Amino acid sequence: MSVTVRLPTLLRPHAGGEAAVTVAGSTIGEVLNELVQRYPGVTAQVLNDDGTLHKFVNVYVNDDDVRYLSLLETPVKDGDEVSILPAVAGG
Amino acid sequence: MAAFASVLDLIGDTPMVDVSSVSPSPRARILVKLEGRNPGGSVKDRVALSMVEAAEKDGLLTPGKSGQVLLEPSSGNTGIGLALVCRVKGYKLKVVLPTNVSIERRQLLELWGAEIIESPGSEGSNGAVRIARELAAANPEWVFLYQYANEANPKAHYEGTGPEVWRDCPEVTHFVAGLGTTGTLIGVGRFLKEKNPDVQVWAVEPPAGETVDGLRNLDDGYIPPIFETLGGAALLDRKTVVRPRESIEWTRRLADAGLFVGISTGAAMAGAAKCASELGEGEEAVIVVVSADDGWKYLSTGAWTEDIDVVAERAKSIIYF
Amino acid sequence: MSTVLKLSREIYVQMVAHCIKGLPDEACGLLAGDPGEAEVMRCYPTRNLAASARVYTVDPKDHLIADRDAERDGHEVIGVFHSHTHTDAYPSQTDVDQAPDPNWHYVLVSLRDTHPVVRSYSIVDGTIKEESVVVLSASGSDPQEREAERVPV
Repeated sequence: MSVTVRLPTLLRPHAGGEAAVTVAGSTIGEVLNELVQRYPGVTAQVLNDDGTLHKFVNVYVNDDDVRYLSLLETPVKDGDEVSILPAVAGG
Repeated sequence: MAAFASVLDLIGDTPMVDVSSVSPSPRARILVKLEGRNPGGSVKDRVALSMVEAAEKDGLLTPGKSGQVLLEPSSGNTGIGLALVCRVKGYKLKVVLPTNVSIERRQLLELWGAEIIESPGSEGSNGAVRIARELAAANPEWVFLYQYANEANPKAHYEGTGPEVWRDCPEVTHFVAGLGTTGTLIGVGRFLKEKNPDVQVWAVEPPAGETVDGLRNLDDGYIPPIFETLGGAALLDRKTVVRPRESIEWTRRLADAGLFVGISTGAAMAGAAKCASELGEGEEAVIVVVSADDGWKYLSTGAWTEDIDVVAERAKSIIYF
Repeated sequence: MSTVLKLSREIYVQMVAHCIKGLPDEACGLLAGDPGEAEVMRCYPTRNLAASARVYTVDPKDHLIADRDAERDGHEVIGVFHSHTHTDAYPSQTDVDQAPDPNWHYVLVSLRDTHPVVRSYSIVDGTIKEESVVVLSASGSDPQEREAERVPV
């Protein structure tokens, strides 16, 4: 199964300048692992050292935030669009 | 702490405090030297004492002799410092004061027995200077110390403030102060550059034609003689313009950090912030800022409590220094 | 050389109106424009998920919608705006700590005083640097320097 991963501007330089890349996997966890293996430069901003999702990043499957689904366990199917965006917050 | 023999012995040796929590850059450490801790409440106590002692040394003033009159144009702190020194030493002081200074200043001058001669508020400190010079010419027996031309002014900083900064913070990379008589900048700037020629000296001035507390713009037509005779222009690495609104914003931000200081400190701090945010990549700085006085004399202006637009507008017509 | 962030009168009003509507909480939104250009072409008001007068979190769902919409127009998100209800238009420590992108413009709208104050900053490696904000007149030409407080150095 392969999905399209949309990357935020900040991560594009680490992925050869691409705005979107095609990645294989059946869950969000698998997709992200595949992504960071291909582009190690994006790791620090997406995953924590223990492999969990970084606090300051939001990941979506199509229109839904994976934090409201099953996080890294969230299943994906062929043709899904996965978006990664920075969390935007402040005081 | 020691017990001191005279109030005048309390002048100088002021503390410095780290305010890096409000620095716009993690690579810029900012320290504020609190001149409000002087007994007359401002950095000008140093200047007042230095000028009076120099006059005594030169024989212009004789300690203990009655009927000696001093004259000084001042929109505030120098007058207050002189009033204190004169009261303790027994001299009579006349201060030429613009009508639009805050009420606290007049009261401080009066409580130490100074006589106030008013000058037009619209002419600012330049008007006070003009009238004082006329009076000095008409009354040659009065001792006219004249901080703008008196080398004892920068000397107080060269011998006092500067060495204290160096003693407490030898890692200083930038020194930022307001441009008033230019005494602080010349005195401290020269001392620090002698110790370390790489120290950058930044002057903060108000926009031409506007009054911002304590500060003057050199393009406004009056260049203090000490600035010219002591090579002030060569000493300054940068002059930066700060508007009344910015000064008040930074005065309030310093209050957030726990510091209750006068509005010219906000202006100097705005200059330090500019310096901090302009650091090159990987460049680090230790910025020392002079806080000329504390906030007490400005409470009546509403600087901390009222709408900033109102306060900033008012700052254009009232002299706060 | 300091950056100048340009925006239209309409976007300026939209941004300030969204901040006022959000009171007593802080309000936030995203700004989009052409990549590499410091000109705001679209303003996307978003919900403040934190629903607080002290902090804000752009609703991730609104962020996704804005991001997709901007991309469709050939734009991208180039900055974020948020209000300070009781402090001035200057980034707080939290704003600095959580600044997501060094290329973004961080626009602050202060509602502390009678008139809203709009300022823009860059935040790179923790260093705050102010940018000029220029509100373009209706025709789009003849830019006028709006922030009278801006200081020439």
